[in-house]
This record gives sequence, structure tokens and C-alpha cells, in this order.
Amino acid sequence: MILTQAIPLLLQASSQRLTAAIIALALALLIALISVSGMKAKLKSVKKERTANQYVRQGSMNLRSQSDLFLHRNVTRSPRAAKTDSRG
Amino acid sequence: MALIEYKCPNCGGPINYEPGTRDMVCPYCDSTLDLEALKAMDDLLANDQETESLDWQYAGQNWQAGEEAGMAVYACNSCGGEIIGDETLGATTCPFCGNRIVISSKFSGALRPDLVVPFKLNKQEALAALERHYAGKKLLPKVFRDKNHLDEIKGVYVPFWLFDATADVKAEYGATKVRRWSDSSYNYTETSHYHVHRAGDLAFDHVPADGSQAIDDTLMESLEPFHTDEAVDFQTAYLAGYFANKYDVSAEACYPRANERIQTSSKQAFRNTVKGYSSVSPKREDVALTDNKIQYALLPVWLLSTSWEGNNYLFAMNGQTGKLVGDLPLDKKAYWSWFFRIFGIASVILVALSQLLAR
Repeated sequence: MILTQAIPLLLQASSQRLTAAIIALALALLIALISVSGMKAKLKSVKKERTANQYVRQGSMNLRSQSDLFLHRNVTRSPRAAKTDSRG
Repeated sequence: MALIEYKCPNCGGPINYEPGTRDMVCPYCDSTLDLEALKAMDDLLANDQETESLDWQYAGQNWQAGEEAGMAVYACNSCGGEIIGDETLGATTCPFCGNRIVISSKFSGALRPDLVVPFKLNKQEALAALERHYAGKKLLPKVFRDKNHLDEIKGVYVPFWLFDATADVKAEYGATKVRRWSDSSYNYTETSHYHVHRAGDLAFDHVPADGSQAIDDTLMESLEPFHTDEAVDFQTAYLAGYFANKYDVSAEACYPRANERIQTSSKQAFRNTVKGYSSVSPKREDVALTDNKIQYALLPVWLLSTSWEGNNYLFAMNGQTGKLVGDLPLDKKAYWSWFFRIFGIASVILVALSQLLAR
């Protein structure tokens, strides 16, 4: 009688441990991949320059005209999710 | 009398004025529209003509009498690189690929550089920078680090085209502000739509573009910035002891690259003035360049070419700022060794932790 109750509990506990170990191994794999990718990225220092920001003349930005014009407004509504009573 | 028709900026459907109100309601999407705002937007769009213009002009200057005497062109038969040097230089090695090159012809033709940024850093400082470049790279092959050819480093004046311009920007954006609230029955989302207009100008000085075919454009862009405020008028005396690469990419060929960089920066700068919205999307961004000026300059670069396992590796150091760049080879053995070491340690720690928590 005790055995029939204990075996499912033991099986459940070992299944939880196995799941936890698999998740831990997946995390370790991710950490290792991110770490070596970071090391590999350090070998690359040649990259295209997209902008000319470093060559902007100091204080040369002149905003001649600007306007922020309100056009229209939309309102949408959706029903709130009804609270379910968990007490049955 | 002309009939004015307004279109809904939300769905594009025609809308009519509702007598007795200041608002207009779109019969198709139910958007509420302000009459004054619609009229103002119409005026803005009517006055806004296409202004995109990205033209450049360069006349260049010729060599003065006697300046070309004593200078010769050296050509590399391997990579095609051409350098200008003293006539007495004799046979030497190519700074781009390390192959042996010999004098090819007396220097002639090409334009005289307008400016030169003299070398500020010497060979020893370049070698020290290369050592620092290798430091801390765990996946760099040890053999590469130990057997590199540090004595091959050469000071080269690289030809650049420098672009000056004022970017005249006219931009229109669609922007929204979103507000959310709830009552006992519903969740509400209110989206307010705006038409944002910005116009103005922004000046650029000396945006560089590599004028040498032998050197990779991306490698040169990685060396930036060059502080061209320290540039001086070109004198052949600055070439003494260094190589000078002769330009073989015309200014015209560099226009698209210079335009692309100036346009990107101009658009970014004006986009950054549109603040306080939940979303902003550009509807139109025109950039016209005025006050254009192009100068031909020689900029100082230390170059090191070395080969390893059949591949050529070219490193470059900014001879003014000391910034050194160059992609390094990957040691695959070290890569996997580090991968398994980190994986092993992380696995032991995380599995032990997981078993403690799963109890």
C-alpha cells in the first residue's frame, strides 16, 4: 500500500529534476554560445560608417520652419475580459 | 469657382463640410477632423515642391612647375596598387599586399592635392598600437601573434576626397499620440494623428571618401575620424620618408557615398527634433545640398600587410589619432576549446542549482 503511493511520488519528483537539469543544460549552452560569440566579435574591427555625424559643423543646425498640426482623433474600445470566479 | 475637395488623411476617402460645425467627420472611417488643420496641411503640401538635389562640382588644381620633378610612380603587379615616392626609393614592397614593387614611371598627370594632414605618430607608436590591438583577443591564433611581420609597417598618405556642403532639409512626418484608459466595461485607446513639418539646414565639413582603389573603403572608414582642422596646404616636402598613394577613384565616383552619409545624418538630425509622440514615420524627407566644395587631401595612415595561411591581412592605423583597425583571423581550435570550457563550468553550476531548487 505504501509502495503504490510512494512510487508515483518518486516518479513525479525525478521527472521534475530531469526537466530542471535539461533547462540548466540549455542555459549553459546559451551562456557558452554568447561568450564565444563575444570573443569572436572582438576580432572584427572593420565596419562601414553609415553617417557623417562626426563632420557636422558645431552649432550649424538651423531649424527654419516647424509645425505640429493636429489632424484627427480615433477612439477604439474593446470589452474588458470578464473576471472568472475560481471558487466554483 | 473651384470646388475644394478634402480627403481624409486616415483612409483617403472624400469628406464634406458639415454646416454649423468646425469639425468634419469622415463618413467612411468616422475620424473627426479639424477644418483649420486640414486647410493648413493642404497649404503646407501645396507649397512644398520636390527639392532633392545632390550635385557636386570639382575643378581641382594642377601641379606647379618643378614640383613633380624627383617623384616617381611605383606600381604593384600583384594588387595593382600605385604609390608615389621619391625617385631614389628604388625597389620596395607594396604597402597593401607586401609584394615586391619597382619604379614604373616618372610621376605625371593627376591633380595636385589641396591639403595634407601630416603624420603625428611615428612607426614605434604604430607598432605599439598593433601590440595593443592583439592584446585580450583570446581567439587570435598564437602563431599569428608570434610570427607577425612587424617590420613591414609603412607610412602612407592615402588620397581622400573631402566634401563640404550645407544640407537643406525639408521633411514631413506622420505622428501619433496614444492615450489609453478603461471603465468598468471597456478598454479605450485614443489615437491622435498629427502632420509634422520641419525645414532647415545643417552644415558638414570635410566628409571623407577614400580615393584609392587599392585600399578597402570600409577599412578607411573604420579609421575615422580624421581631424582635418589640422590639415595644411600641400607641400611635396611632407612626402619625404613616406609613400603617397596616387588617387585612382575620381571625385565623381565618390559622390554617391558622400551623399549617402550626409543624407543619413541630415535626416537623423531633423527626425530627432520631432519629440513627444508615440510614433513618428517619415512621409517625405528631401535633402538639397548647397555651398558644395570638394577638396583633394592626403591623410596619414600606417599600413601593415601580413599573410597567414594563404590569406592577406591588412591593418591600418590613423597616423593622426592612433586608432588601429584590421580584422584578425579566428583560431577554430581555441573557439571550440573555450566553448566547451565555458559550457562545462556553466553546466556544473546550473545543474547543481537546478537540483537544489527542484527538491
